[in-house]
Amino acid sequence: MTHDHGHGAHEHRHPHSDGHTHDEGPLAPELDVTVDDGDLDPTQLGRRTFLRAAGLLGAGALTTSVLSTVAAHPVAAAPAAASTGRSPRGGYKWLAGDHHIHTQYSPDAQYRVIDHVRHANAYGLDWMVITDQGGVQHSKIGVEKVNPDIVAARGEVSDTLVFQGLEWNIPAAEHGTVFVHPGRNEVSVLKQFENSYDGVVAGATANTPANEALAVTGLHFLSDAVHRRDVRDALMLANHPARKGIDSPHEIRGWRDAEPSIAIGMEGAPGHQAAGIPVPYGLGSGRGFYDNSPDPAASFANYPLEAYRTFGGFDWMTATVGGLWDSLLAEGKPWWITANSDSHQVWGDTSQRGPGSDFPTNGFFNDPVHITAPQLTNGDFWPGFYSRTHVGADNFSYAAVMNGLRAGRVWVDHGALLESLDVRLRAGGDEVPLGGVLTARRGTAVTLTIRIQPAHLPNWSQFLPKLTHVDVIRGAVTGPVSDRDTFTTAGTRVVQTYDVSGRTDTIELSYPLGALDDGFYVRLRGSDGNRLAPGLGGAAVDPAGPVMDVVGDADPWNDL
Amino acid sequence: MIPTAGLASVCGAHRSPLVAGLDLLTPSERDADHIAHHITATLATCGVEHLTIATHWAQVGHLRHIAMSIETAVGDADSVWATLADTAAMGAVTGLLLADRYHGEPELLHTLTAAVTAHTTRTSGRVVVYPGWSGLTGTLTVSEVLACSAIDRIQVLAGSAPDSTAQLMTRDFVRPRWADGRLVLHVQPAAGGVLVPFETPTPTPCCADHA
Repeated sequence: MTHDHGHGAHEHRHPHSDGHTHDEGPLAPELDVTVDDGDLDPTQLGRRTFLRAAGLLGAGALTTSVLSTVAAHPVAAAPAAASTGRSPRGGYKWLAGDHHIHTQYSPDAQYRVIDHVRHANAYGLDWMVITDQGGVQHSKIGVEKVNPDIVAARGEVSDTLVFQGLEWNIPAAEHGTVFVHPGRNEVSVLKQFENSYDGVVAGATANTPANEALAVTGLHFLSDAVHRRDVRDALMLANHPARKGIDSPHEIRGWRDAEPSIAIGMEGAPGHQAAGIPVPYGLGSGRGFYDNSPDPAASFANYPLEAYRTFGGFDWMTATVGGLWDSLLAEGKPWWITANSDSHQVWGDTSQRGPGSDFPTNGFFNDPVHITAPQLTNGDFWPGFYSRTHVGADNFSYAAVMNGLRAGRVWVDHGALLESLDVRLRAGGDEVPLGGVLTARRGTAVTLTIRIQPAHLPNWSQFLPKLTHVDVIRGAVTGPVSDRDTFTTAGTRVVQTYDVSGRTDTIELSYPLGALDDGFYVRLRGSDGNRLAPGLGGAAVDPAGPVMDVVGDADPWNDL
Repeated sequence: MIPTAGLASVCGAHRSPLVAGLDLLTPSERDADHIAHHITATLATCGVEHLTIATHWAQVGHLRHIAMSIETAVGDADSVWATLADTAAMGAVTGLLLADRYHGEPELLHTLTAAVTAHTTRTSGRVVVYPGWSGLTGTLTVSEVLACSAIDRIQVLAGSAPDSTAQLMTRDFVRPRWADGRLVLHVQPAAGGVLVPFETPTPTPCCADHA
């Protein structure tokens, strides 16, 4: 499935306690914060521990623990999306990339930086981000030690841009990619960020308002670092957002609204795309490793069970027309989607971690060594092998890639389904590219123009993928929601499906969007047509969308 | 522990269902499953059978955890209370509710009232022990599952009701949920054309350990 984006419940399960009701006589010792823990008997200490964990210790404790989110600098204005001018003469340079890659400096991964960079380069990636997992060792060792490896790889492979980043354990939430423009301070900024704001390092993973606020403060830190010119640019994207149901809609909105120039989107499709390859050829697990259930300690209670599974390899938030992603776009604010490898250990690889590795002490696994048996129970692919995030950049540079991502000039594909995609919105004499916002007089005719180069070379599974369908999805822009935990929007549906089966030449489509009345957005979706079914919102909303993946039988090449 | 005053003992009306609530601040559903099985085994030795035990999401302040509800169709209130009280005694901060009797932290009375109500009305709850649960092992057809257990309905995620001859690979781990008064097992398609319950006994662990 290929996606891009465009221009212009189950009952509540959180009974809230009112707090304890001891209101007679002197304060019990466990409630008296002037009494040390060490002076309490075991029963009292047990009760105090409980109340402390619940945030009920002390009068008004529930309301005092939220950190200030007032920015220490003038809050950056929301970006005016892309410039409303035309695309550069000759169009943008569309650069394929991947912002979610793990090396031997992650506690569950394996490869050298140069392994990933050379494979990514071989598979055609123009840019990539090394995102080792935040954690105790990484914050002290890995974040520094990976840098010379990255610098060396940049020297070895000059036609793939290699960013240093990390996979942030977002306080109170899932993981996120955080990365910075290369420079003198790339390590120091990431290291300070990780040590102050990583959920695992800061002990702030629990689902509490204080931790949610810490995440936002972390985003402000990144923005400050850019404003102070410690780094030229920084970005954050939410990874595998629906996987465990722990990115609530209000948290996503919170990140976006706190720093719209930094928190710009989420993975539309997770990595681990080999995880569902059937036994004996593969692990036979859930595609994307999406096999979780709602976690009572952390998951957002109102997500349906379907949220925990992938659809055509895509995350439910993106796959569902009229779902969470659409509910964000309907607010008229930017939020983009990507597709990445989340590469830890590669399917079919003939190597394993070096012997004698001691990650807890060293902060890395020893360099891989050869083994004879191909590792068919690994769940990942090399960067660029299957998932690609394409960015429209002004030129081949780190800054241009980051600007392109921020501007939403992004489309994604699996299995190299498309060679290129150019989508523009036109009205009056004006036009904008993907990610752009077009403004025109009411009544002006608006047109969507689509130009697709189907694949003309085989992909990395040695077959020529065939695009068969292109869908235009249109949604009303209804403005900011009043309930920030909204994850549906009624005003979005598939308005047009083109059957492009058999087309090998350039596909040019022009879809009339009518006379401009109220604000709207459009996005595009396409597929190989192998697995289609009515979407979760019903056939009137999405007659032929991606199908929920079959656990243990999801060969990703059969479902592009 | 702060016991409430004025305990009212429910008479052993043997045929009327009793629903008790037990809150041990259990952090996860899997931990609660172990406790549920322990309670089942213990009550069986007192001759109390035909239990239905469910887990419920509960929250006190910021602390989210699992509360449990225990129903006996035929049983003795006193032995249920005694067994649950023994189980509760294993924890530091607990709550135990049975009809008018409550013993434990005052903050947990609220969670247990909610759990017992959800159970009694079958509006929500993830059910661990229920009539027929122990026979749901191996691979069974949909009609066998419906016939041999208290499960009312099987629902395919992102789909409709399955064929009665469809095969369900239980993985020996079947956790239906109440919804609108019915006990529903959510399933999804799996390799080999079978169905599996939505909840897997072996989910992929998160990449980095969370504190």
